[in-house]
Amino acid sequence: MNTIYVADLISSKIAVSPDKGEILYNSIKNEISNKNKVNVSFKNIEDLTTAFLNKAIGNLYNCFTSESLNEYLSISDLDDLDKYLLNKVITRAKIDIKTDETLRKNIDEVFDNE
Amino acid sequence: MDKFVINVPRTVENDFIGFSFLSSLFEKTEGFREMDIELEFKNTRWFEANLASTLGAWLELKFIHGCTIYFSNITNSIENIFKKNGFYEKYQLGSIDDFYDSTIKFEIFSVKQDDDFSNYITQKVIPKIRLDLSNPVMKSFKLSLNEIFINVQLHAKSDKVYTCGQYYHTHQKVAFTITDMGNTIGNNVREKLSKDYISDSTAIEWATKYGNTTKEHTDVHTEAGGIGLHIIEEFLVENNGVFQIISGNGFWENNEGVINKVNLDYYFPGTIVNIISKLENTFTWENDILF
Repeated sequence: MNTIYVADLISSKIAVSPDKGEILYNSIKNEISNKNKVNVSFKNIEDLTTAFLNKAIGNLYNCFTSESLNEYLSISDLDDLDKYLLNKVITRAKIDIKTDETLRKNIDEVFDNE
Repeated sequence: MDKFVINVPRTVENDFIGFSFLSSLFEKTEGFREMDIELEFKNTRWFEANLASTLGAWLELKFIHGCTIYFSNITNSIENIFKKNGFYEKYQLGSIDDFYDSTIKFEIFSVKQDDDFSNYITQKVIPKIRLDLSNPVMKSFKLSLNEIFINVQLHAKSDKVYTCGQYYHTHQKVAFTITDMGNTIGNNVREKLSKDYISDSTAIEWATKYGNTTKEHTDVHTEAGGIGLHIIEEFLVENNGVFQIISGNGFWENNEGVINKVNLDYYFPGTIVNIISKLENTFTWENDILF
């Protein structure tokens, strides 16, 4: 299994911008497209945002199914807060805005009083 | 030439009235070129230090348009705050030591300086918070500020980001303000949803809901997003904090769990994000990651 060290890949301990997230996205996509199992290590990353994770991980759902991601991708060295963020990103990425009732309800509630 | 005089109210605080005044500054001086503008502080007894962020954004805009700004009859106490937090220093008006070490420095960033902003939080904001912060809570607070900064980069497409803060020893709360002069949330949401009737305050509320984003969606590609503002709101609710967003004519706040949504009388040509909170709680996820 190959390991991608995020801090090395983006040459920084700060993983906040989508631009840097895209670098990670491309690396992961490349590995999985070649049927390589890959581990992404967040060791030494000090600052992480959902903007970074959306780009790096969330957008993978445009190319791969959950089954493929579970088979080929693993994540390590995330603390509980960052796991919470990643879980939020994954949950959101799996939602189809056109069919998800909770999301539609959210939108409708906001506009009800306009 | 006579100066255009604007009377600053008795207090400028982190509330609807304070943000109405700040918005009025922009609207009343819109289109001014090479004018002398006087801010008359003779009645003003309190000006929240963190709101130097928005005042600084206004100053910069007026300077770009060749205006000269005068501060008149400002009290020593307000002037001292501006000298302590680096606001006056930015305009060569002097500085003094912050004996109580409670001010958080006024800064102007290019929207591309996300790493510099992150380092500013680590080096100049966090050390001012004299609380025994756990690492997860500290990280959550940094996350909130970083998310706001990146939101400006992604959605407002503003050139500059204006920041300032204050730590309140007595209440053990931190206040932090981020101002930009980019696209308003209302314009972005109305364009995204093709719904012209949506008010600015409703658009802000929409943007804070989990999963809502103005990022690109096509039949073949869904750009992931719609979490940043929601996460901040969650964090502030956990800490009985206040989360305020002012954009266009919209004023929206989650004040200790109570949502207030109203339209301002004056148009703010950008976005102000303001947070005021204790820092005690955060959230965690102890399960495995499942894709």
